[in-house]
Amino acid sequence: MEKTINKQSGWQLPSQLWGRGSLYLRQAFALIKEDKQFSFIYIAGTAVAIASAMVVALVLHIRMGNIYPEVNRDRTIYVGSNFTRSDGEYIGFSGYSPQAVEEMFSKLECAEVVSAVIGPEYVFHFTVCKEIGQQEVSVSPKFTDPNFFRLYEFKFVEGKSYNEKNLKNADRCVVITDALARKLYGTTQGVVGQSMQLDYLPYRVVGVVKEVSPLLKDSAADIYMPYTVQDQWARLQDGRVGYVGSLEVRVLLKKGYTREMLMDELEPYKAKYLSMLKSTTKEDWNWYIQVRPHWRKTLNFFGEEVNDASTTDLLANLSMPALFMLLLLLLPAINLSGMVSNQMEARVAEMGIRKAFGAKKRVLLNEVIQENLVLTLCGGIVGYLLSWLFITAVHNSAVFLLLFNREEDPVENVSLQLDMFFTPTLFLIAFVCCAVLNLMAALIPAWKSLKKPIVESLNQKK
Amino acid sequence: MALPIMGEMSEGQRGSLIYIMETIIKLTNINKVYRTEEIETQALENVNIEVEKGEFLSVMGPSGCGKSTLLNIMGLLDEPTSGEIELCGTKISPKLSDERLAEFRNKTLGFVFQSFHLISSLNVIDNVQLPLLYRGVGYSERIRRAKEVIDRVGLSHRMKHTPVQLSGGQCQRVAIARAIIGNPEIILADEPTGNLDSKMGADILGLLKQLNEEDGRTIVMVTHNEQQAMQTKRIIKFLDGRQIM
Ligand SMILES: Nc1ncnc2c1ncn2[C@@H]1O[C@H](COP(=O)(O)OP(=O)(O)OP(=O)(O)O)[C@@H](O)[C@H]1O
Ligand SMILES: [Mg+2]
Repeated sequence: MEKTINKQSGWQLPSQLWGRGSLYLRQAFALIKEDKQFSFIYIAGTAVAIASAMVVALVLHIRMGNIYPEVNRDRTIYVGSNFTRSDGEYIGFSGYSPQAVEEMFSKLECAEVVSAVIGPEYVFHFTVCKEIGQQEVSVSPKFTDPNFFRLYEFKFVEGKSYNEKNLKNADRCVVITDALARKLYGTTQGVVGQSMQLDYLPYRVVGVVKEVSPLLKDSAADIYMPYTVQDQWARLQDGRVGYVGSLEVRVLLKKGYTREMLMDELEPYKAKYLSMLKSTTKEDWNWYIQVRPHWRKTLNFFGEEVNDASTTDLLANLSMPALFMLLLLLLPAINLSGMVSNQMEARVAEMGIRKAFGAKKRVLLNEVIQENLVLTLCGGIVGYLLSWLFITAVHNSAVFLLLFNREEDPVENVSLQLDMFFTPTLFLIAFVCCAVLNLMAALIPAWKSLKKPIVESLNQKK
Repeated sequence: MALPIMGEMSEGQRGSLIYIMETIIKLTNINKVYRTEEIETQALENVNIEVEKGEFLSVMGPSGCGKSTLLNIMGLLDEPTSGEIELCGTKISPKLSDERLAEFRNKTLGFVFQSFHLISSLNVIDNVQLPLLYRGVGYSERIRRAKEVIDRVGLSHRMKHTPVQLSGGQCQRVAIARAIIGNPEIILADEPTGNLDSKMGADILGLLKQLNEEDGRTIVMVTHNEQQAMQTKRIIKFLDGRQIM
């Protein structure tokens, strides 16, 4: 035996050096071409598994991930409040008054930024135009304080946000998106200082920001202005007692601080408010400060408690979409695995032939791995494109918007921004899951047959 | 007796030349027992066989007497329950790694089966070059040698056909081309003419005889055909797993 080995190695080395890897790959491609139907189903199955998982993951990513301008979602807390009767019956929820913002939130130890925004339930679309008589554009507004542009990291194309003085004086100044700037002025340059008509009153543009996808409904709007200019502002403050008002408070925690620390800091104001309430209205209600991290607000698969004191249910809440995703990924992938392993079993005889003529186990397993990786990779790429196509096709549909709680406040056109969807990690996770499943499905029968004597593989019925 | 191998031997191997030359296959006390849930079949019982280099040996016997089992054990396609195998002077111990066994099969053994065992998805030339592929021979060299052996079995005009497009006799020629492309010392043929009509069978036997006489290859062939067996150099007969002649 030695002699033949020696004989071979002399003239083979050069071709071996360049040939091995590409040889296996060429074989893999040959196998793929051989069984076109199998390859097609394999690629399609992998693609569907990856695409469906990707779509769910993308939806979750858009709802949960750090996306422009909500790049600090992991530290962003939404603060509201809830009332119940003394017997526990729910009365309603409420925002805060400017007084509360000043007293409760302005001096928080754990807050990096505190921003107050008029809650979406008080805000309606309206129309603006450059000058009276010109084309009117329907816009969705947000009424905020200047901190809003720090809490969310808006990119200013031009100008800057209105300031505290503007807020205090209820100056009629606005920040608009580049998209709106183009609609109104035909450009995004030199827009600062321009004016526009809104409800027959003149407003001045102070800043232009990069457009935000309407899917990010906490930060998205076409036009932003100080909340004090809202004409209903005075009314929204009326009748209520003390801290209660129409402002939603959003807190960006300093790094290293937790939601619990914020709750502790707010706790004293609860008693204070309840005593105010009792002395003015004689009502014996309960008042809860609702402190919700971004994920809690966006994922409420298990409903919301009035008190919302539980903090450890992130996992519980996350487990639902995660399970859903896994299911979407696994069902087609498992189906596919069955087919792959069937096909491998049918190829056992062929593996026996190859072994009889000198194929090593390692080489055959390598072939199986390469073939499956090539197919899975094709499936992955197709799946990625498929998820893109799917989202592009449905992104304006009611069902899709429902996924982002935009059904009551429909948007005309959801512009898709590439960076929102370019999520290589999600793709990699889905791809690795599929690759592992596919590989196992192929390798287990291959491995089992390779362990048996060659005759048994040879005589296996096809 | 042709001795093409001599030029390729090292000094050390030449020392044991006589041994290598004399006995190329040596089976000692081979037993093979198939155990299924309840039935136990003794397919081979205490078989001792020596095959000389350059021999053309026929194995005969009734169906089920263990001929295929014998050939598979000789060809390292199956393991004996007990006993010793020596091929080309190398003791095949069950401890040999898969890599070594694969190399051994690749370089020393060539198989021809009754049902051809061609890979149906590969064309003639790709089927034939298989042993060289697993030896790591470069593409152009593989093709050159495949063309050579295909020419030798008379199928040059069927190079790109797949097995389903060939007759049984042609398939068996492809199988023979595949068996000889790697220049193995030993060719094991299990009823190579069993699926062929008598004319084609005679053709195939002629080819094997040529390989034996001109190239000096050692051939062990299982056959049911007395006439064919008569044309080989030696006949052994089996009955119920034992050699009776
Ligand atoms: N995998 C197996 N499991 C159990 N028994 C087997 C197996 N393979 C062969 N046998 C048994 O071993 C015996 C010998 O079988 P073998 O195939 O060697 O016979 P054979 O002489 O080649 O017959 P034929 O001329 O029909 O090809 C038979 O009794 C057969 O039933
Ligand atoms: Mg047989």
